[in-house]
Amino acid sequence: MLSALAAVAQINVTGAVVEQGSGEVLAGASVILRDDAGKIRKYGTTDAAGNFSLQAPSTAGWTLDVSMMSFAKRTVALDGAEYPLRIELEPSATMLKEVAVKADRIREQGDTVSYNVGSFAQAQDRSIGDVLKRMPGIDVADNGKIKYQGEDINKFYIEGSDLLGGKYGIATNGINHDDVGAVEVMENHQPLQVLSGISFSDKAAINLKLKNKAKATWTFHGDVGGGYSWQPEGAVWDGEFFAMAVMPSFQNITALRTNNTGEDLSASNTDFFADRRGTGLGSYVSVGLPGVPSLGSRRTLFNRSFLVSTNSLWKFGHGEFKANIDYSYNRVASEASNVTTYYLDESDRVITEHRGGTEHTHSLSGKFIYELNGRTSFINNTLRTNIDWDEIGLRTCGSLPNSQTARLPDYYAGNSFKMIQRFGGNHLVTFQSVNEWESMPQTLGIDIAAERLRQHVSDHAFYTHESAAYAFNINGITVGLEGGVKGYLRSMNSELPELPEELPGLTRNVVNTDYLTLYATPKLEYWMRRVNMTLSLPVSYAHYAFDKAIADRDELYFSPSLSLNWKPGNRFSGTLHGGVGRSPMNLNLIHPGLIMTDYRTLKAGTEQFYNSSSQNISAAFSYKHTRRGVFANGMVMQSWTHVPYTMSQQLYGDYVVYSYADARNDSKMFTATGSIGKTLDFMRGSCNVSGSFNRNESQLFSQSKAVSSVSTFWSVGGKVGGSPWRWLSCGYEIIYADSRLAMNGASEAWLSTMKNKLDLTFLPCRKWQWTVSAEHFRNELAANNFKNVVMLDTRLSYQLGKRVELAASLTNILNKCSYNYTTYSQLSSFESQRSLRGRQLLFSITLRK
Amino acid sequence: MLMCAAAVVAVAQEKADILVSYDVRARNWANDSVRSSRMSLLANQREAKYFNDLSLWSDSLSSTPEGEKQLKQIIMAACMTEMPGGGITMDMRKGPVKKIHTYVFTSMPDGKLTYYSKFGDSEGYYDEPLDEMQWEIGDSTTVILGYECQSATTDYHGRRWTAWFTTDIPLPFGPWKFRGLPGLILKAEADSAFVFEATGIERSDRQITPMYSPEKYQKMQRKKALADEEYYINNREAIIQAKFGSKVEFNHNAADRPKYNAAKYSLEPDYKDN
Repeated sequence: MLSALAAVAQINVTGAVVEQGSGEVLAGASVILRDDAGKIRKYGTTDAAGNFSLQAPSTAGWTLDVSMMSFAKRTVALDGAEYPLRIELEPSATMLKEVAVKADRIREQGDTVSYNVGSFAQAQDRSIGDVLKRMPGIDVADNGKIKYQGEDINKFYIEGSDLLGGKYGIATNGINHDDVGAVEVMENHQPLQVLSGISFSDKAAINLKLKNKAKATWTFHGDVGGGYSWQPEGAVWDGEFFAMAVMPSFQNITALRTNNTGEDLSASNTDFFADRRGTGLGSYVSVGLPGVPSLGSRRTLFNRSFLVSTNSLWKFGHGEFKANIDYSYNRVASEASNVTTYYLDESDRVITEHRGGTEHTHSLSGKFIYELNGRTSFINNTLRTNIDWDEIGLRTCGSLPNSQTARLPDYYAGNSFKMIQRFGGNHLVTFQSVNEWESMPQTLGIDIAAERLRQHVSDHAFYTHESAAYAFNINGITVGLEGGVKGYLRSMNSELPELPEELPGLTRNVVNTDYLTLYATPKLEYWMRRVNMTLSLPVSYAHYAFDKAIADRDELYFSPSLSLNWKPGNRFSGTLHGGVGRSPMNLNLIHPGLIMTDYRTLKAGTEQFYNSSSQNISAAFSYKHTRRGVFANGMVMQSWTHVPYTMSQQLYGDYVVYSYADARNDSKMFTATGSIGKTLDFMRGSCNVSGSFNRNESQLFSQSKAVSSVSTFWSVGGKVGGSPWRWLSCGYEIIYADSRLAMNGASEAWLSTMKNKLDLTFLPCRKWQWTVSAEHFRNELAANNFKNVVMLDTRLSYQLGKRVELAASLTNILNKCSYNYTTYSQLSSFESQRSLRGRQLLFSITLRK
Repeated sequence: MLMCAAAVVAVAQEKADILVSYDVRARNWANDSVRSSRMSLLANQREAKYFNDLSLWSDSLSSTPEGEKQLKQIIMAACMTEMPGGGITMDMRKGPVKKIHTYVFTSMPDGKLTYYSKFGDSEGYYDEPLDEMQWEIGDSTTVILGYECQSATTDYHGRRWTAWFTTDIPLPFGPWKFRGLPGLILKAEADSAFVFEATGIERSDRQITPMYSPEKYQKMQRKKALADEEYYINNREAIIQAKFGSKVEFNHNAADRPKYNAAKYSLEPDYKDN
């Protein structure tokens, strides 16, 4: 009876849900009864016929919510409603506040660590290089060089192909991060397949995995900008064109870049894997525009730069052919006022000068490679040609007013051939032939005190290196023997112009420095499950001939080294390394006569042949926990070098003469570095802390007196970046460095530099993006004398459709036009007032395919 | 006939509306710590599928003979280290090896869910009517991933669960077997040792593909399957020895280790009630 009454009191809220317009019934729609306070009292879903039925004790003030994905939500007031209801839902996109479903940001599979690019990229990033900087464990230096866990990478691949060799800056600065799915780091990467399982590698390689949309097609993007700069006053431009094709049997990257906005293009033009050339020439003439520490090129570089690079790769069978052709032009202008103080015992000597100059650099290079990289054989032939043309004009006012011009062309051609054959599984035979030729004619012209001086230095070298090696493996021990011959022919001629008579020494050089070296390198590698031990025992015999300028020499060199790597699991790796060695001096220092390096510096070489010896020990570790996104590495190194000669410096009037004298010069260096990085998943970001310490002790011979100097340097830095909210992405970076020089026990003050950088990017909606950034530099010029500089920049961009972006940027808003600093070299201090790039307004348009 | 089969497939494969990722933290018996794993939910208005990405990838490859071969090669390449001199070592932790066996297919029109998993050493499945889970809506609210969520509680298979759902996404699904609220469940927890929490929501039109290789799974009864699993955990060495005739030792199965405690480690300890 009671329950019947209660049942009578219940109201049956029934109805049907249909699509507006078509009248089609909607099954599975959510229906919610809310009371007058908005609290959910009953709920359900519509059945296959679109009907629902909910019981309620009363419906006074109640509402019914009806919703379904892809339809607009309807709320119906139930006061005075008649049942069954007929509710029409209007089709509409349900607004979903999307929060990216993240793939793991970092994954590990075997020896490969894979970073998901989308989960590290921030809205303001453009190239893949911008995103690489945010990945913990990966470090990108200002010049574009990539390190993984503190070690330089040994290969840079795009979809598994080594298209660019060491000039991977073209790719990191050019490839749009949106075209890259993942960055893979391959640890312990042995680039030569034929050596896999035989020779250990402690280096890592990077591979860019492209998204499908960027594969098997050409992708392009271009960027054109123009504007106005307050200093240097006038028009500025910035343009870029980038094209890439990644096909199964063909790859091409072509880039063209030009600007005069202070962007240094050398990062796109440096071969980070380049070995030192066997020809070993160096420029005697050194007329350089002064550089600025701890300030980016965008603040200081008064440039006009142009770069074009085209790189192609064709695959056929197991082989591939690559052609890399680059041309770059760079014009850099620089103005500086300098005060140089030479520390002498009687009294310090001060030279003031104002310098203004322009440097034009052209560089044309071509590299042609054929490579076959198979499991049993490896063949590589690389032909390299390079023409550099460097012309510097420098005008100096001050105690010795003058103008200098230096022409420093460099012509180089080299071919290297390498063949490795593996047979019987564990036996290896290698043949290698390297031939290089280089010529560096150097001309220095000086107009000083109404006199015109001209010095010409000609320097040519030919280097050849033929070697054969055999290696075999038994029970985890690889025994290898490499033997070969190196030949070197070099001739150098120079003649000094007329100089004041007080300068002592010969004015002409006719020097030949030739050698023939026979060498053998036995190598023992022991490789068990978790430990690799490598012992290398290179021994060589060399005959040096100097064409009677100085006596011929016969030398024997032995430089054994031992390294030990321990990798107990996936996470930790530790390496110990030690070596002792003996090596010949730099042959370029052998010249009896004086050579002028700039208008007031002369160098006298030695008339002696010297050998130096060195010892070093180092320990390094790396640790990673990819699931937690933690990467850490550290290194300590101690080295000793013993050189039986030392450079000394003499002043003759306004001239400085450097020469070498017999003296025991022992130096000792200690270096420690460490870095730890971590992903910050809550804001799709990452952070990093790093530090370094360096102490260098050396003995020097000046004005016939021994000077011992100790320089100490340490730095700590940290950075953090991420996107805590959808509408904001931010980054903060701080670097603090301190250095000190002590001479004969008397210490100078510690001098510090500090840089703070803050970037904020606001994303009010999908189309607009506004970045504000501030940089603060604090430099200690002398003890407790600080120079602060604050730079503010801003950039506003608008996305006009999928392929077009418009942007306006204003850099150095405060129009700070000068920057001062002091640096110390071993026996002098150098104070500089340097002009900066002023305020700059740039409008640009970016197009993408 | 062929067309008919195609039609059946077409009906079975619906497109999803959304993809949700969940972090799952559960107390683990092996080392008595709370471990986390990542699961995904693909759902539309009618049905939902709850799975692990790696397992789905692995199972989809294994469902064809060529794919199974390919998967083996991938795992070998990642886990195997070749030693000079011919020796090899395998470290299964290095490769993409399937570890999570749970799949939940929930269907509103059928009024049931199907739960696939590995119980002990045998793979099985069972069906469960959707009305076995009854909710009481609470008053608390919280914000998860930017969505205003409301609380609800249920006593389900031996645990008291608190769930947080949002009516902004009108889908009656959630992680694991959770269903039946008037909005998507973004978080569910039963004391601090069992937590399911959404970490991402995206629009998705992926196919809600049916179970790969369903013939490998035997029909089971839920409580019986859970009891079998407990027996297996407590006696794995003996079972493996009986099956393969060789002796195996597990790190976490030392003699002094306490027996599996369902009240502490099982998501559904009610199988012990009988």
